[in-house]
Amino acid sequence: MQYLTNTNIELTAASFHPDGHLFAAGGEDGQIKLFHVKTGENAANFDLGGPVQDLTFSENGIWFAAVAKGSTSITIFDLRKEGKAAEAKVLEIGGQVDSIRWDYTGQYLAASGPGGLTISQYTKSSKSWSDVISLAVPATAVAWGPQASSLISVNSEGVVTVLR
Amino acid sequence: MIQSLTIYRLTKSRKKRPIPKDWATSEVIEKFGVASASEPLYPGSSSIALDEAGQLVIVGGSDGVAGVYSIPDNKLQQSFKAVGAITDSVWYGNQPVVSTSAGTVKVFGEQEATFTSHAGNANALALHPSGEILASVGVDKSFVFYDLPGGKAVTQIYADSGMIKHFRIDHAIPY
Repeated sequence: MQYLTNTNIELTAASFHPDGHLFAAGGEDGQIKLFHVKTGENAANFDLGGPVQDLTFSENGIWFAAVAKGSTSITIFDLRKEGKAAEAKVLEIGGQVDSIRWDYTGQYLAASGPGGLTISQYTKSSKSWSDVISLAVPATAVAWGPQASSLISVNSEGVVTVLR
Repeated sequence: MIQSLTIYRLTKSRKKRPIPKDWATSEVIEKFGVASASEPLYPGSSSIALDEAGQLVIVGGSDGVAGVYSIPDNKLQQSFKAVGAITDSVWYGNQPVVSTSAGTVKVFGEQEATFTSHAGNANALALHPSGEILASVGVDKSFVFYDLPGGKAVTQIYADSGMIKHFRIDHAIPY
């Protein structure tokens, strides 16, 4: 016997805005809700369209990147806009993405999944995106090393890999 | 107060902030390759947290064991036991913090603390840029803010209803 359990909107991802004033929580319902840290009040909502797997703020202060469960694309949202207009960019990665992390300068966005790692670059002067490198290193999570001179990943077996 | 100084540091000229001179260029990054790989440490690992020095990594698996792995030494330094699968981790200074599928948030180290605010899985963690406020989100549709120096859960907010539960009214978050 099956019951309808579509009201389940568990929260699956979390991140603070680099200014420290806003907190973002992503849910199973595809909603990314921003809250004022001080009061806990809802500040804005963004629709990713699928259960939120991961989200990460850019240090530029106006963007955050988010990926839905099982998705092969990353959506960059602009905090200053609403609705569909808030989607600043959709990056096609080519493989499933489980974890995303921006480096401190907001230039590089690392994405990892069962197919491997991809690093994309945003160039501010030309306002353009480019692929820097893709590596066949499957990973469930990634982190940037100091000065973005290394990338640390872990896979589902718990193997920690250093890329540099 | 420290708080206002922190806010100044965090918000100051973000848009015009220059890229640090020693930052990796795309020419460096496009040559990335595998420099080292550990033994399989914890099956079911789904999170990673790197300390500020870029040397120590927190990893943890589905059996609830988390550890600190040293990149320069290529070995596990410490391991910790939690209950339930490790779902996420962050560093609080030099103390590892993990969330678990049993709903707990655990701070290991000299000021050990265990928080049990969530009913059901604690799915993810986030550390405030001040380094002092921790957030967790859960299957119970809520997020919780913790005052780490105070070792206390401060607020629990239900994202769907906006319902707010203050654990300590006298200790509002200063941001």
